Amino acid sequence: MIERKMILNNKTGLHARPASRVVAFSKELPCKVYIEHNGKKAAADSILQLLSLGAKEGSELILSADGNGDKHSVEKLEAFLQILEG
Amino acid sequence: MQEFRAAQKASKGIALGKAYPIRHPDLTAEKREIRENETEREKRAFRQAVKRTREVLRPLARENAVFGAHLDMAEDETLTEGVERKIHDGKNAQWALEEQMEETCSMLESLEDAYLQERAADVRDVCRRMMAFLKGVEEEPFPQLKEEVVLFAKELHPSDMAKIDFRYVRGIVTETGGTTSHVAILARSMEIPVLMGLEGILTKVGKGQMTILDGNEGVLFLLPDEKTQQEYLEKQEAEGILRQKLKEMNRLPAVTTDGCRIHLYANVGGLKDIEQAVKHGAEGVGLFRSEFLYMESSRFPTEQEQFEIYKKAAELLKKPLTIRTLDIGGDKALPYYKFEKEENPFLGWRAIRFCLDMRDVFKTQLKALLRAAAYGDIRIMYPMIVSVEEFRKANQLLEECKQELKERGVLFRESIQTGIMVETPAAVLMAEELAKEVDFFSIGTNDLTQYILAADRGNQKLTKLYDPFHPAVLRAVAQVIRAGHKAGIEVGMCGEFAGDEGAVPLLVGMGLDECSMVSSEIAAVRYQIRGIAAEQMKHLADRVLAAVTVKEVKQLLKR
Repeated sequence: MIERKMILNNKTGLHARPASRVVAFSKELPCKVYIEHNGKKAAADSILQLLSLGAKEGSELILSADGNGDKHSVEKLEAFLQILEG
Repeated sequence: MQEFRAAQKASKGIALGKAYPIRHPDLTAEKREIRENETEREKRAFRQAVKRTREVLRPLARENAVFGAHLDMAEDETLTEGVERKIHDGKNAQWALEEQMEETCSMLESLEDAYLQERAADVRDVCRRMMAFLKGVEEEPFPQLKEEVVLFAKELHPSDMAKIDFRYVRGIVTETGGTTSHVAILARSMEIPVLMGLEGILTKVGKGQMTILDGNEGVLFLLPDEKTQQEYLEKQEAEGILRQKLKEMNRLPAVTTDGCRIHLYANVGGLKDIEQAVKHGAEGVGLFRSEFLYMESSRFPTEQEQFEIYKKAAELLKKPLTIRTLDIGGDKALPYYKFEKEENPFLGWRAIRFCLDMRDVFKTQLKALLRAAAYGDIRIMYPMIVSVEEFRKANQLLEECKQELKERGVLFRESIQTGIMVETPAAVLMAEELAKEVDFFSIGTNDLTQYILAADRGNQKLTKLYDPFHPAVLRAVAQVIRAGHKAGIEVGMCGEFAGDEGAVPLLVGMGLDECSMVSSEIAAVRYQIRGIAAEQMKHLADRVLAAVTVKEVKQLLKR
């Protein structure tokens, strides 16, 4: 089990379009990754769960994964979120 | 003729045309409790519906990101697993789907973000597709439009938008939906007028009925009479011609037919307004109200905070930027500084009076301005000046600031222009003397009118008295322009008067150099100026300035 904290820089927050890109990206990762915000935890490959986080620019996110390739997956997703555009 | 008011003006413009109501097929679930041996069959039916929905969405998703998100939803296991669990609990597929849809939507609608709330409409859209497959109803093939119509619908889904041939759509009316919905956004980008929130309108409108949709005022007419139709046809034509001309003219300068150039500037109250100013082709900013920096803060903003905002403003604009120093007090309070209650706030401790007394606050702002001016053409404007001494005192503090910045070794602009707002009768009477010392004048007609006429502009009983077309106000304006030109400085105006269609010809005739107004008015004023001759306006101004009553003034200006 690995966890990483980060701040979301994306101007629009996790709106439909960026969330859709996160879903596509997460489906390619070797293990299931979760994004937590404000006590809510979403599977990164579920657009409905991602939208329901209500994450905005400046929101603190906790990324986590468990299983084969978890460290690699979390790092990849973090890097992806850092450069995510509206 | 029937007239309706809409709750939401979602997209501006005027549309006339025959009504085309779209009635979606009934997609409410038939609810039935199922026996255990039916579970597998219901699950299969649901999976089949999901599969077909995904097939429909896949090609759409490649073309449009909105449908990309829809496809993600259709593939989202949160949704499909939720439905299957409900089937497992003894509900038929339709019922399970509807319940899951409602739960998902209410979860999204409970979020604070209005944009995310609107995404519930996308979830509904996806679930409707599934429901249509489950129920075996073909979603009504969308109307093959052959003539221009005004569409009426309970709600338009983004998926509907893809099926509509917009060449034939003049306008859209819906019973539900908000201004941030995808439909509203799409319509605005296509310049199609839209009204939303007209509940029950589908029960009142008939196919082929003549309708008028006024997206500017938020009004809908069903079966309008001849007179209304004629009126709107004219409005529509005028609007179309004007919009076209304004667009073409956006990059042209405001020059009269005889070659007299007027600079059109924008009044702004924040960085967002600057983007608008650039978009509307403003040649600069004539009034940057720095108050917002102070009002949106929880303490007096620091030099660094202010510097960054002013610098950003200058870099966004890349054109002359006139920043008015803090105009606070009177009726404008600060959350963190308590002003004593005054008998006459407009005649009280405000603007430059406050700043000259609160020297540290003032100097913090001046230093930020000097530093930011190294990055753009920033000019400083002092408000509410009544005397030459006040201007000198302010500039003396400015010199002190330069000295201090020099000692700190910070980058700043040494030769910065300083001017004043002319908005008090005293400044008008002293205009010739002031003009010798300042770099520019900007006439603030809102306050000037109230001070010259001794009429509180917020007093409802005095609205008739408060009139910038009063000859006394106009003579004061003319006097200031003359005094400025005699000393060789530019004279501008940043009150509402500067963007008033009735006043513009007069101001041109008086020789005003610069008009500063709300960005959205610039295009219309530019159009107006390009159609008049300055020489003729001079004669008009002479006659107006000789007028004795407000009525005479307005007759001469045809107002």
